[in-house]
Amino acid sequence: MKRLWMIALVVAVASGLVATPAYADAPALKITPLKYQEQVPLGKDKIGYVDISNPTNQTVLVQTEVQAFRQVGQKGGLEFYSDERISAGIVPELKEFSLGPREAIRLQFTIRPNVLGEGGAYGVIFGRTAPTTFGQNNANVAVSARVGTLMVLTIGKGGERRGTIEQVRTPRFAFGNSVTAETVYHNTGDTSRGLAFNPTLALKVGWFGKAQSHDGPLVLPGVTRDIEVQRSGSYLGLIPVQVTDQTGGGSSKTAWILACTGYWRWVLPLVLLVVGCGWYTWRRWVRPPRHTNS
Amino acid sequence: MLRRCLFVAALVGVVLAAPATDAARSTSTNYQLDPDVVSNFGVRGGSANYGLINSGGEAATGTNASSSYKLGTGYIAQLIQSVELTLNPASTLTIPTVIPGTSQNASIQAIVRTDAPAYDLAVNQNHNLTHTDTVTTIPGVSGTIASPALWTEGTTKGLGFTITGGTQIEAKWGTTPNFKYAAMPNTATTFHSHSGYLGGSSDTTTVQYRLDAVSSQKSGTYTNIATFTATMLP
Repeated sequence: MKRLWMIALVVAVASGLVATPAYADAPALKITPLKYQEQVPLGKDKIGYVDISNPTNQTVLVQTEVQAFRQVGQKGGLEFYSDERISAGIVPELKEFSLGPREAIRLQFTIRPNVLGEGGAYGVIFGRTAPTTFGQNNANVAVSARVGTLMVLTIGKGGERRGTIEQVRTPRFAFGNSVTAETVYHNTGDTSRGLAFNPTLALKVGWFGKAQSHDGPLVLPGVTRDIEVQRSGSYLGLIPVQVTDQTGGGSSKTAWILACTGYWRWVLPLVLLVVGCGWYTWRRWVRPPRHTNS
Repeated sequence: MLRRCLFVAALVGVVLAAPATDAARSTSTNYQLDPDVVSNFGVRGGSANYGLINSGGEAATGTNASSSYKLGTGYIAQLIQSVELTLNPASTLTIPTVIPGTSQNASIQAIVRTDAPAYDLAVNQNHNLTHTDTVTTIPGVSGTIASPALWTEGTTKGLGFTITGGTQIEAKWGTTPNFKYAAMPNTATTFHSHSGYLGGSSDTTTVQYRLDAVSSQKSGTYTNIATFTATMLP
């Protein structure tokens, strides 16, 4: 009889745990991939997947949502906003689900190119922890953790990828191992038909030698972004720093910099030291003494 | 008694002798996921729309990396290129009772773990702090994320937030004791960016809320929802 009561108690506790999961107190969520970049032809929906996982030891209630994103400022900072075209054209299969401790879900989503229309479509699939209930006193801010996969889509044949280098900025002096140039790059594509792209910038430092290519970050149509390019090497003197756009337009800008980099950082002081010592020695010991008339 | 002991011993023996099993392989017409690990347990669930993967008991897991390389160990670590956000310590942040003229504050940590070369942290609120009467509100301070403003005790009124700790903190947020505060935007807006690989570590940003109210503010409980968003910086 006693054993029966024990079993009943264990079953009751187990049922309670299953029926009322304890949701995570510290909201946390993980999503992969970071970015989904795809060209989708018109006429046929495309299926994709994101993985959302719960890194905590407690169950979390997850809600999905889709928003558009834009870049604000010249550092590439993102702003997310509601957009009917984007939310109707990128559709996750589930709007809400629970994830147990350390569980992951492979969530299917559908890209509807005919809804998005030809050109670029820039959205985010978010997974967010559902906010919990508020306390009963004072001021309470319920917090929700949200993570997102950026969707950089080209629908149909897309539009144009064109940009221009507006300015190249360099510090007056360069010491150390490399020369750095900050390029102000503008995606000149029309905001409705233009496409986002990662410009390839070629950096040439000095009078001779080959330019070195650098893949820049994403620049949305109509956006201006500061892109830092760097090249290591040994340079000495006043030299040109030329940046050329190899992606869309072929524009080029040059800045000038007084450089002492690479091995010149050690050779130049050594040369100066030798010259200085030689000059001092010549003045002190070799140069004939001046004769003054008193 | 002997029979009971034998039964318990047999049960323990079965549990201990159970071989490690392969984690489940997830497939559909559109994808195949082959974890290729031997772990003590692994579960696959799903429907036509989703798959559920659960892996555990692996001998070695986690991520090792520096600024120039990344090494993922274990099945979950194979889910590369991810961003993870944890808000610490709790899902609700309670600001102590405000007596008008004396501000109160509370802090929360946004902990990001990612293998992206750079990430953004954005924030937004669903609405201003709203009384339980659903009408009375406490607005945000005058500063914005683009241009946060110093807090003048007794003069600054409303709800503001600032960054009081972390790495690569933008100079616009000020330093102790002169932190600068911004109102919570209604549209998710980046308030902090981090460049460079994290090398397998997490990156913690401490956000402080600060609140003061005008003397005519209706007393009671005010609430809203703040959403913190982490994405890669493309």
